[in-house]
Amino acid sequence: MFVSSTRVFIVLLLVVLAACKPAVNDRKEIKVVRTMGKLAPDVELGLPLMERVSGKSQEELNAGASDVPFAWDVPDGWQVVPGNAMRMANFSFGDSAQGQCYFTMLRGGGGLLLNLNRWREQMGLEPVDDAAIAQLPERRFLFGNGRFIELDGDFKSMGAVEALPGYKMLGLIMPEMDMGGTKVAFFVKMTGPKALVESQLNNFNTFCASIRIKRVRQ
Amino acid sequence: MSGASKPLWLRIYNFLSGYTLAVILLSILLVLTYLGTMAQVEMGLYDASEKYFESFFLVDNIGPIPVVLPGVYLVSVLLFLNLLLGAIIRARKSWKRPGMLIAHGGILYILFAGFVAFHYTEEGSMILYENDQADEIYNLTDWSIEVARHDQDGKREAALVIEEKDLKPLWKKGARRTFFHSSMPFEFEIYSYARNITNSKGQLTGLPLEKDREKYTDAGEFIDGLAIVPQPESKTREANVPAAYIKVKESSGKLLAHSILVGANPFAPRPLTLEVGGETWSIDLTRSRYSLPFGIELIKFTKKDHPGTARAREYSSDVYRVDDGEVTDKYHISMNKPMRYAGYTLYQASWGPEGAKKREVILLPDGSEVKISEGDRLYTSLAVSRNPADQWPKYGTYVISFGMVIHFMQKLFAYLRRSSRSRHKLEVKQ
Repeated sequence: MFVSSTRVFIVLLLVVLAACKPAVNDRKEIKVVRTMGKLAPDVELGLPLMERVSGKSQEELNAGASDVPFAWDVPDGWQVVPGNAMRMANFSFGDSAQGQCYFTMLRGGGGLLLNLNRWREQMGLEPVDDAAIAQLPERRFLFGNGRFIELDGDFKSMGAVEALPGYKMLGLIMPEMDMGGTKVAFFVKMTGPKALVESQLNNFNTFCASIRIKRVRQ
Repeated sequence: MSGASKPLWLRIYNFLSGYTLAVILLSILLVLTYLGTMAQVEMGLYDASEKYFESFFLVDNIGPIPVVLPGVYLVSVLLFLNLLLGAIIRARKSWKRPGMLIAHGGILYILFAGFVAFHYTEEGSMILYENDQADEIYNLTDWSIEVARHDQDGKREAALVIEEKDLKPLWKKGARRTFFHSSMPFEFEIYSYARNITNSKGQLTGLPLEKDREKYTDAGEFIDGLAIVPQPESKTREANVPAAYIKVKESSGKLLAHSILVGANPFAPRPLTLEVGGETWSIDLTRSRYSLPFGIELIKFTKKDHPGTARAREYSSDVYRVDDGEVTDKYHISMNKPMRYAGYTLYQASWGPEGAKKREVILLPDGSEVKISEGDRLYTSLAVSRNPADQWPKYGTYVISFGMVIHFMQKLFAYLRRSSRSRHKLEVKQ
């Protein structure tokens, strides 16, 4: 045999001992010094933790996502929730942040009917046909008029297991804008317990009206 | 003399220089190469490489049974020894067969080149946008902490560097280490080091906000509204972003700062800043960086896509070399055409950002346009390597080829001579 069982045992013992080594709690002198390159990037000094992490100023953080080409006013009582690839502006409201509102742009956004029925399904409502579209009220929104949607029901968000009873959804949709041959749709959507959402109707309208194009950063 | 009657050293020498060991080692290499390659699927490139190809020993599970195997490093060392003893020292030396000796010398040279490259190669990446200059490279997988004193303009002359090997012990739960240096008017403790705080999409899910405290029962202490929650490490090791708590104290024990260090973008450092005794200091958790003795300026990055897709067909970079702030020679770097200078090799490695957005404009019904996005600027990513043995495998291949040519020529001439003699004998007989 090329490797004796004793040697195997010793190696295994060493491995076990290494794994059992206690976590360090010691002091260590720094010994390596690196001369900086003459072209080393500039350092942003004096930033608070939140700005060091996000790369955004406190003002930009308060306003939500800053690298999008839109600006808006945040209604009183709404809290900014960090946005994501889908949600350009994202807010919560209510005592336990049960209410949500977000503004999004969807490339290849689909038609108005498709989106209306998707939302109706989320509220546990039956789909409707084109005739229902004509009855949706119009509201001034972004580049023209959007369609206002108001739904009551049991809300089941994407990926949720159970529906939340007694919810209300407000929405404003501007579908079918042309962007270099691609259709894009813009949405504002608010959900939450019915009474809470109804109390925020003015804020919803104010927020929708405040969304505007801002100068793109060069 | 029978095998049993030989002295022990001779038996060991014969084994180390023999064909048996060579066959065993080559067989193990074959198995390790297979295991290491397959392990990359589960473990990722770097972890599998460390476990199988850079180790002396490793423990691998063959089914449910853990088995201790030699690592490729150990096998390569033994193979070098085996070749040196067997093919060079022990082999019969004769002017009749110099080719084999030369060829084996070439193989030894290549194995040695691998050893030198493994231990002495410095490598990293450099990312440049057009018209940008840089003279630093950063490591994709290793992290370090850099401490620097800044002058009134915010510039740094030098940085004290805590290398990854000194941070590694902190990966263990409960570990903490205090770092100090005679030139620093403070010392600082690093603890609760998390190797990764991002999810698979690169979002900082391991830095929850204090308002979500109830959802994160496993979070560390909240400081300035954030806490650290270690996230599962990515198999793609370069995607991991670390974070750690830091406590900075004066030598008197007075607390100067208590904060979180988060792995930073090497091109836009945003370190923890301290004002101590009228001086400005920064502490930065950054990918390990190295300074180059020259700079590079990107003149133009060119990317050509496959027709009708956003998949790059070829990409290349036109750059200037910058010496002491002056642009000098111009180079064209493309796939398989690296730039070589001062012992460094710069390869065209990649480009970014991945999924770069094109310029977006919305066409309004009245015919006017609204600019949604300028589109992303593309950058070039150059892999920079300083390997003292860079060209040695090529030279080794020349040596092996030379040896083989000599060997086969000798065999050919010997064959021709024998054939000639046979024909001559046949003619004499007839």
